[in-house]
Amino acid sequence: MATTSRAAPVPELAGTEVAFHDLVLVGNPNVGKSVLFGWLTGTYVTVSNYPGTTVEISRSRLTAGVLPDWSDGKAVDTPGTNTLIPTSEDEKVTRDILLDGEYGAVLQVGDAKNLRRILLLTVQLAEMEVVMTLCLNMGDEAARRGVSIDHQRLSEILGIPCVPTIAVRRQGLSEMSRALEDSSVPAFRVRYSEAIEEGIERTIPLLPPAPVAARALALMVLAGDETLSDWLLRRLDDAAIERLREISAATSRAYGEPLRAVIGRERLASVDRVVARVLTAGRPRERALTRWIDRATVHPVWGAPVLLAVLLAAYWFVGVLGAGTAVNFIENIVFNKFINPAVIGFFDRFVPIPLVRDFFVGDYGVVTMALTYSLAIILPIVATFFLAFGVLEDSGYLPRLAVMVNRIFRLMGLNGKAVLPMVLGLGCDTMATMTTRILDSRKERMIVIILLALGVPCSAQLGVIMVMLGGLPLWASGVWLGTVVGTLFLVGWLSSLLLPGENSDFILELPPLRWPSLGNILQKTLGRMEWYLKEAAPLFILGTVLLFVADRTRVLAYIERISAPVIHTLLSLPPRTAEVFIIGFLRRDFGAAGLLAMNSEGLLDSVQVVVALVTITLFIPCIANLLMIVKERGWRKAMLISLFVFPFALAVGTSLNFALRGLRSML
Amino acid sequence: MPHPMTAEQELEELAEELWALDERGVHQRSRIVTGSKLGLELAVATLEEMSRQEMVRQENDEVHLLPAGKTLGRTVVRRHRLAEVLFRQVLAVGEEETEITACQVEHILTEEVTDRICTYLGHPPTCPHGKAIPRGDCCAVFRRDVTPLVQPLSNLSIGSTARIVFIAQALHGRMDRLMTLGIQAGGMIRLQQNHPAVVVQVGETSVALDKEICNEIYVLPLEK
Repeated sequence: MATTSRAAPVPELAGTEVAFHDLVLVGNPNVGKSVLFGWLTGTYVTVSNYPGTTVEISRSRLTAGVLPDWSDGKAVDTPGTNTLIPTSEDEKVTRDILLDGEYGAVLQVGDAKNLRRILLLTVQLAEMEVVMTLCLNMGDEAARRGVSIDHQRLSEILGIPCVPTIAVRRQGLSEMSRALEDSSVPAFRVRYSEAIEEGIERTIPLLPPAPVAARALALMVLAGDETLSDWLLRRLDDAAIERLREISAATSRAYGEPLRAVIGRERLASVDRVVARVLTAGRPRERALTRWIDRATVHPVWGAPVLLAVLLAAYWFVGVLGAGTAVNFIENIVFNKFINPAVIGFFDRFVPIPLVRDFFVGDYGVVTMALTYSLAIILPIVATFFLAFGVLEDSGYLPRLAVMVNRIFRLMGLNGKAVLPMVLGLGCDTMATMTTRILDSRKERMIVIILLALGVPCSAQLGVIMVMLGGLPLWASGVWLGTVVGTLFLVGWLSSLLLPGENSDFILELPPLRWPSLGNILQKTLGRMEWYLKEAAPLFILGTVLLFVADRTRVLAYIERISAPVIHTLLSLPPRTAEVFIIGFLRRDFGAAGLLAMNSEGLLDSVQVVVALVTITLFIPCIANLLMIVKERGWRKAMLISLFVFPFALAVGTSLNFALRGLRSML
Repeated sequence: MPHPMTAEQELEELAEELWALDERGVHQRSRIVTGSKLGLELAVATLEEMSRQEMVRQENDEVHLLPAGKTLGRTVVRRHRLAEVLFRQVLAVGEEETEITACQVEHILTEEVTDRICTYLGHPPTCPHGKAIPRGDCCAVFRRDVTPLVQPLSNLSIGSTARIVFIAQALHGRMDRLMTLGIQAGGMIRLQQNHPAVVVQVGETSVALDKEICNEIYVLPLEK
């Protein structure tokens, strides 16, 4: 092997006593890093069949006994990456961790079906000279595809332990933890063509000292990795940076394509020679039905009926079972028949102070309003939504949905990839705002954040809206849906024209369709509900307390009085709606729930309901979402978004109000 | 060299080497003559001959190509690199064999034949080593009178498999992304569908793509 003819590098870490602190899990997207992380640490992080689910780093203490020698160490789960020359924000996160060098060893996790892609990453880790072990995961799927890997031979070629595993079934994991003890720096190196090797030699002396091998850094610099420039600027003077640029430019003159393409091509050629030596391709044992379903989900003809069926099933589960049956049962029977009467009775008998009594069980009572809303109305809807979402996620249907909607999303300056945050937004906009990191360009992230803040109702709000619309003729649902979707498209289209930046390509890996594991979905749903409740319940109570105080101090009446003209003339809504909009800021769904109460008291006619629903759907995002926007995009952008959304929602509501009233008087 | 060369071929050989070195910014006379395939002695003699024919200018131990020499070098490099694409990527000839044959073929291809090969290959921009193939007249008009063997992926019929010959470089970020998923020159690709988005299989990976990207992936269709 030409590539191993170079003397094996002397690893800086291997000879000395290394205090193994952290074990970093690295690998291509969707190969099971999070499952292994869970096994190593006993902590659950979201596991899904969607490339790029892990957008944040998880760090957790290793479970005692899993790796005896590293008993005080931690494991670090990183976002999936295909290359250490990052092409997206989450890939950069992983590269930066590796560049920091503050870890004991790397566990590379790979999908055994895709040995070529595993090794493309391995050779880059080898260039960094990290101490590592390779885990060839998903052995079951590889076997079904007829792929078998001679892992012992691979281990000899690379010079590191290589272990086959099936992490979801806990197979091969104890072998893996034993192998981790033998982690080492790979002996294997890619030998590049003359001009590049020359460029590496000229670059190395100019580089600042770094925790990873200079050869890896030199290759990143030659490849013109822009994400590295901050790191370099902090360590080198302008003259040195200029020299590095010159070397890169001079080297690239020998080739007709960008150096990163040449480097990638030569890595692939080198990897292919290894693959040829260790991989045997046999007959696939996949069932024809699985293949057919796989094709049908993105098929030009069958794709649409499949999509429709999925939507209907999701609607039935969340809209009918969750928002209907479950809400009715918990609200009308559990709360209104048992809990609330009991609590009210308790206060009537034992707490005769009216102020305290009203604080807990009055019109704006912590129990009668906050708890009833959050537990009776919101919780069942959130639970059913996240269960349904979990099934979509783990089956691998979401990326296929992205294929189906790609064209439509193009109209809004987005591509199919944006479907994940948008659908997740129907669950919780705050969570979805965080997930926009999987998108490739700054511009697309901004557009999706605006659309989420503006018009994607979260599950709880959606549930309340569905309940209200359920009581009205069908046209009301049509008008609401048409206005909201139309507004989303219009704003998406306008933002794509106005916002600077580029639209990115639609290049999306489709993971295999898998049977979701019920255990994983339940665990994930519970985790998400916990997240939601922790965030929602306190805000509900806070909102209720604020309302209670505003009501008692007559501030509420005052706000209602001054905003009444606006609300009345523009939206033709009763003054009490003002309070709905105010609490809508604390939680959107809470605001919608307030409308529900007014509706059931018969205070609103159908046009008013539709106008109010559209306005509150488009209304400013809730506090939590706003804070997440600040976290992701900064204060300035968050304020700009709010300043746009607030009058815009009012304007759409007003236009709709006048249009509907005009139409009604004509008929 | 397996066969003795004519004086004309020696001139072509050195012009080719000079052009390729110029591409990398190398002009030192000593480096040129010691690195030449012609051997030191013959290289020095040929260089003198080129000076006489006003193909090069020599000064201060530096050699610079003059327009006549540049044209000759460019033509030979073009023939050589096109031959490499044909042998290596289309006919799947081994690396060494390709090099030996290309070195001979580069001296005998006429302009007409060269342009036809170029057209047949779909006017590839780079050779298998990633070096630029100098453009010919046929590339400027993107001639199509010879049915190109190498076609954009978007022309492929659904369900068929092809070998990727090259990816036209529009945006380098795009090429990086494709590369990390295994879509790069030399790899095999299978087209599953064109609508609503293109879906291809590369090894065990399925990838969905925009239609426009497929116009930039040039492939050699294989039989079903």
